[in-house]
Amino acid sequence: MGLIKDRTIGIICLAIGLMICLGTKGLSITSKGTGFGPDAFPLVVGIGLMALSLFLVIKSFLFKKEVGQTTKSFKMLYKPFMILFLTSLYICLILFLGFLVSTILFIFVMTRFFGETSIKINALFSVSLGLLIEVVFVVGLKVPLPTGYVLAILGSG
Amino acid sequence: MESLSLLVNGFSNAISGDNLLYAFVGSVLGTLVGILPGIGPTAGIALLLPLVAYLPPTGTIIILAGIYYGSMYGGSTTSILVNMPGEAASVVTALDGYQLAKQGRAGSALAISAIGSFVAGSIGLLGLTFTAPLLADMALVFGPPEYFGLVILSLTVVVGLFGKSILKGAIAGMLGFLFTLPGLDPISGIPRFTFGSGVFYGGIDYISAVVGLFAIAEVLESAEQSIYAICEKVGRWWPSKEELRICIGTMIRATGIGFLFGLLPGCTPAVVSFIAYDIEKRLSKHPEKFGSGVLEGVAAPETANNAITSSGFIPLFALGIPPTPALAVLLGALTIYGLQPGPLLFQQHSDFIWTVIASMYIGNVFLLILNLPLVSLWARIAMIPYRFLAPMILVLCFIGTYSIRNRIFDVVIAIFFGLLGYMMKKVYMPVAPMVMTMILGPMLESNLGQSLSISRGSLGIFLGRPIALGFLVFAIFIIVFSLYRQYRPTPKWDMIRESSTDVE
Repeated sequence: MGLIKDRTIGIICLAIGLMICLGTKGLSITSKGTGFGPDAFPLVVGIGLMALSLFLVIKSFLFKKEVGQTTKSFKMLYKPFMILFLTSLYICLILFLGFLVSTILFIFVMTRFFGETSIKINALFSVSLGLLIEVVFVVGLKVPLPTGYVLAILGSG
Repeated sequence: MESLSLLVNGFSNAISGDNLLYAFVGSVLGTLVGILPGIGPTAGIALLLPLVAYLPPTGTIIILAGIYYGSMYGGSTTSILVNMPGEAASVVTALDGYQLAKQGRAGSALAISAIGSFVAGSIGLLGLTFTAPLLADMALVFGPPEYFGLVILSLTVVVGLFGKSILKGAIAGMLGFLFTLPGLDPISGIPRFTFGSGVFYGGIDYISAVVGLFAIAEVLESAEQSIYAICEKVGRWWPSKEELRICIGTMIRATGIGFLFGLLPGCTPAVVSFIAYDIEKRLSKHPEKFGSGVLEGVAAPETANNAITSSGFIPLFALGIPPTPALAVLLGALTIYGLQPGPLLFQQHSDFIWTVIASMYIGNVFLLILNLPLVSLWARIAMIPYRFLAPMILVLCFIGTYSIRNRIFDVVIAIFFGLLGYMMKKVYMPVAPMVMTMILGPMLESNLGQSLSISRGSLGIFLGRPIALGFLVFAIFIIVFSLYRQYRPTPKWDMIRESSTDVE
């Protein structure tokens, strides 16, 4: 399984390296005689990445067994991807509802997701923490955070 | 002697009301970061950097430095009492520390840990006081070719000496360079890899990347596990004379080890704690007792990881080369205020730098006071269920990354790197080389470009400058040596490789 992962990474990085090299074609050289323009460093990176990736792919075919490397399973991917999805949803919600309301909702949902079963504790914690963060960062440190389209419209109305 | 007088001047600034408060706040935050699982010093500094940037520059750097060295103190508390290291550098402390706690000697372990940390921190700071200005003076003769060679050497050390797989480390490093490409070319200012979109003109902010790689990725990985801990009782929190006598030699040796290794890029507190533990075990008359609860097994790693936090500031301040990802974020903080680390920092901003160094001495004292009598309180904080911590960490990630440039794009970048960091852990690809190349990549490219401008395109400039040539030859030697050791390992070298972690 480890070798398959290495092979997969190698192929992906090989493709990325190739794309970088191709991407440098559109960059003009303004090096004024030094031969080192905006395309030089990306080209070195692309070629280097391709070479190393190729070596990783070849190594994955040559070596039958990875010694001393236990395999981590992809079975538990559901939870991490769910967290990423909820976090992305939170970002979108912030733009509409603003920081405070979205944060309280997010903390509530995430705490439930991580295993808190009591709704009362959940609600109390999410409201308290949301307000605390608002007071400390927005009011205290004057960190400018999104107010949200809804509040902006209501405010202008 | 000049360093001493400048340090005294620094103390007069550091004990002023505000700076004293900042040192205290940094110590408290650092201890918290060390205690709480899922957030290490790199993530802690990266998260708080955009927020404390609203403070004066001296205050910001004092707090962030306090978080860095304070986290080493905090991590040992949970390692010993709960068998749950708060950060990677305290993993090995748990081997003997928790066993001591189960034997009812938690107080002795905590006390030895705190005293060793204080001793190492103090001696390390003395080393910083006298070595950094000397190194900065030597670096005044460095030009673009020398800096290019130095960065190449730093990166080869990160990949070659302290990574488990050189090949994967090199690939990770190349990926780091990849993420420095979008934006404006550092020499000509021409936009490249912007995909026709204005959001990429400012490049990919590495603070967002670090938050994603170290904080968000950690939350994602923690979601797979159930964290359940039992806290042992503390009891007496001061050591006996006999316990101190046993550990004094260990503390001195570990201080030396930590200090020297801290000068090397890529050698994190986690790595050096393992090295110090192993050396102490080999020197012990009873090595078989290590792992079953010996005080030396606590003193060695905790002393070493505090020594390295002091010496790590030497290459950062004197040369502008951060040896660890955490200090790389601190470098970002300095550049935000227009304070370019390197030789000129000591000349042009003498008051600032010596105030920061003096505040570290004060912070070291605060940490000793905070961590011994209040150890029970910190242990209770460590018992906060992760289901409450995780959402808080994610919200802080949002606030920290959004406030950099007030752009949702930076938050999206952090989420992307969170996913990337998580996937990299799954395939055993190290993260540290990628972070280091993201930070040092622009420096490498601009110094290479300037060198070639000086030489009208000739690479012979690197052969004609002895210091630059020396750095490059040493880098080649490290590559060859590392490849040789990878394919013909020895138990000692295996130990150093196995101790490498991707976290801090």
